[in-house]
Amino acid sequence: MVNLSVSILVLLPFFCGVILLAVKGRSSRVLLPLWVATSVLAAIMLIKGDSVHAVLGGSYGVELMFDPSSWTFVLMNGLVFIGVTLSVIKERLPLLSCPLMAMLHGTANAVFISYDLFNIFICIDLIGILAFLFIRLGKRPRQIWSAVQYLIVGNVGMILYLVGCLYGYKATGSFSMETLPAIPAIAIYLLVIGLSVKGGVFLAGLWLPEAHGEAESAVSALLSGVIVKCGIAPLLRIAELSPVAARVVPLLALASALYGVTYAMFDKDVKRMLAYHTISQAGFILIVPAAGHLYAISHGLFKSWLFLAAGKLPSRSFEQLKKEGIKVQVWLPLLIGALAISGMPVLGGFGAKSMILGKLSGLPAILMYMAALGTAISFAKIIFLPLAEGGDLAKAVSFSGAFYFLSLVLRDVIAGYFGVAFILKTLFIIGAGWLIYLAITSRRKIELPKSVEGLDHILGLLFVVLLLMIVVFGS
Amino acid sequence: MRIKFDIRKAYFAAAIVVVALLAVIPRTDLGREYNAALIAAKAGIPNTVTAIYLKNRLYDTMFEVMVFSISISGALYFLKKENKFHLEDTLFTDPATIIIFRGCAMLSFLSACALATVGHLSPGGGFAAGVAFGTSMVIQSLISDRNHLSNYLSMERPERFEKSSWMLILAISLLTFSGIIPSNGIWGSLLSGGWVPLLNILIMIKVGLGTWALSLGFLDHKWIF
Amino acid sequence: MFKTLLNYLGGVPLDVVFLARLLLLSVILIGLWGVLFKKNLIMKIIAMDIMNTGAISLFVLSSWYRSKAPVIAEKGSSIPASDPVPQAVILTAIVVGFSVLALLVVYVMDLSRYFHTLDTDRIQNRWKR
Repeated sequence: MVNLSVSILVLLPFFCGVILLAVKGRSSRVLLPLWVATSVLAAIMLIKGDSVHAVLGGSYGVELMFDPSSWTFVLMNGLVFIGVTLSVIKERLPLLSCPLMAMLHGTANAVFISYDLFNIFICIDLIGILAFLFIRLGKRPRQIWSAVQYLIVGNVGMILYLVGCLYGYKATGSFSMETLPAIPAIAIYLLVIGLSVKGGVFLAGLWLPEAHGEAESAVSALLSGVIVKCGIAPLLRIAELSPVAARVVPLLALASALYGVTYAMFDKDVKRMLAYHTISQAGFILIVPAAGHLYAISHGLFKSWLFLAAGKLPSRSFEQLKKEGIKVQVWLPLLIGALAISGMPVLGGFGAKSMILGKLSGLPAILMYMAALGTAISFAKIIFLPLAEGGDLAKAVSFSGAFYFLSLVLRDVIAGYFGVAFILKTLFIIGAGWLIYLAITSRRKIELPKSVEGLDHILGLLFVVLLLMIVVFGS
Repeated sequence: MRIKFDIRKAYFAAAIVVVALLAVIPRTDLGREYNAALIAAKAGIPNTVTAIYLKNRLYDTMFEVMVFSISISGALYFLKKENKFHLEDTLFTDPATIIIFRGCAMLSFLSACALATVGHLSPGGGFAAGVAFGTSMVIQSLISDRNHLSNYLSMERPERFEKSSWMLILAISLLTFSGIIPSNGIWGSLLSGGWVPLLNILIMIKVGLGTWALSLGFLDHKWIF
Repeated sequence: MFKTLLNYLGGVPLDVVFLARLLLLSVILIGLWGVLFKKNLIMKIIAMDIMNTGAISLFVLSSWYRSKAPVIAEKGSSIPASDPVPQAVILTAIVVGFSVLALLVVYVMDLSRYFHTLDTDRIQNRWKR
């Protein structure tokens, strides 16, 4: 069973990628069966519900873990790729896109099933290179800088992760995650910082607005939908297994959620606002490590859909959109996506948010409710844009739109019923958010400092956060 | 300008503190016994490092080959789009240099073959061999008679070789994970250790051709000169 | 007296391994200095490679054990060899570091073709206006 899973999840996409590279294939249609195979396998395994812990290669080998959280991430991987491929299926893609998509899928699967610290290092480095090439494949010069900045910051983060791996190995003699509780605290902080760089958490993830905001919309959808999860999924495992990390990660998550939402509320550019939201939603995923994978699947779905829909907007700046208005067929997908991320029932975000918020209490719960309120406020910006003439409702329906809608509804149906109290709370938050937007925020223009997003500052802040963790939580 | 400098010095000071704390962590591995002999015996080859990365942790090595190949493909995607800069007037033309370069290239190529084929019996292995192979090809590209080899070898074959060796490495990884491994053979002989000798040679081909293509791409790009 | 003071500070045995570890950590710091304080993109990339080298050498240092043989001479030999796992693992990390470096150098060349500068401040200031 382990071999079959590894073959379908990792080796098959790699084979397809190499073959596509050799024959210089450009059609993305061929890849759809691959994503469907992954999703079907993940769904079957989730229904079975057992956990398998395997070691590939005997003693000193690489350890893999197939438990419900990994299968949930794999399912998300398959579904997001299906959605993105359905949306670009008619376009003529640059030469390297299809092989890169296949290999990205395989590597993301590998990160989600991996239980070995060094294996995660290599897979995340491979993902960094693939994402870099994806961002670069766009046609605008600014994307080259976004890609280069992403790769430099990612590489420095991974060097810190590598040093953390080393100190972990020296203390316990193995790279397996089972030994995480015995690893010294400073190594755990290094691992957490390295993964936060890739996962876009709080200050380590400040490369996100530049990279996700500037890339092509399909690429941003993949980046926010899958690649960010590749940094977050190992963080969830580490937070569950190590008591040191279980104290640090929720604090980082809280800071991340509030920071992202604050910047998103006052941003003037649609795609950058969505990118700031990825930082904030990463906080939502990480705040309850045991249930993070359930939020991640919803987030992957609605965030990639939002990016794909935002790609069809006539302009990126909110000022211009307010003047010109948007057509109905562009507004409808954005409406559904915005409602989903704000947590509207039946649309995928509700089940996830309620599950997370239900497990918190006290100060963290209040702060996360404020973050949810901020999400509703900032997405009210999109929902209340004026409609333009000449829209055609029939054009709003598309393959990818239908697919995403069905997946989101299904996900909420599976999540179950949470009780009237939660529904009322959610509706109240969304309503309050819209009111605050209409009354206050749409009239004020606040410019938040963004100088912190320079290359030097991101790199330097990594060490400052590391020092803070050591000082606050002890060594 | 002054304010910016102060912040970066603060970042660097934080980094110094963190690294100093890393330096004074007490060593906890002084009493551990390493059973390298067990690893060597189980794998059937004396070189324990090769045994680890080509047998026990082959999964990681597979990803490493992917990283290398994808980055070479990505780099070549850009380098090939540029106008080819013809180097003829900047290459070396005097006979003494040509002979020395050809000699060095030959030595490098021989050492690449040696490292790959006996890489499981002594320190060496596929990656070092690949770098040596690539170096030999680059050295002989620096002399003005660089297309001398194309009389003997056509230049399209390297690309097909590269992709097929890549796929063979993936296929052998699949076989190893499924447990289909040839027997270990006689200790210390050339064909001992299951798939290890074949993997060494395949990795040499992959890494060598990749470094050769990348270096040639750089040499032909007008930015260098 | 200095030695006993240091010994007392961390309970760290002041031997060659500790000094080597200190040296390699300073290599990482030197690389970090280069990445933070140099404005030229190529200098940043070279400094990042220096950081990578320092981290990798730390791994190799940690695999040192009594004798220095990486290879076992005869089957069933009792000469203790050095720890193979960090060495094997670091081969992979070296290749990964080299690949990232190659990609970065090529695309920085690409960047300079569009922006005609390699100075990070100037590139980033283009969009702050």
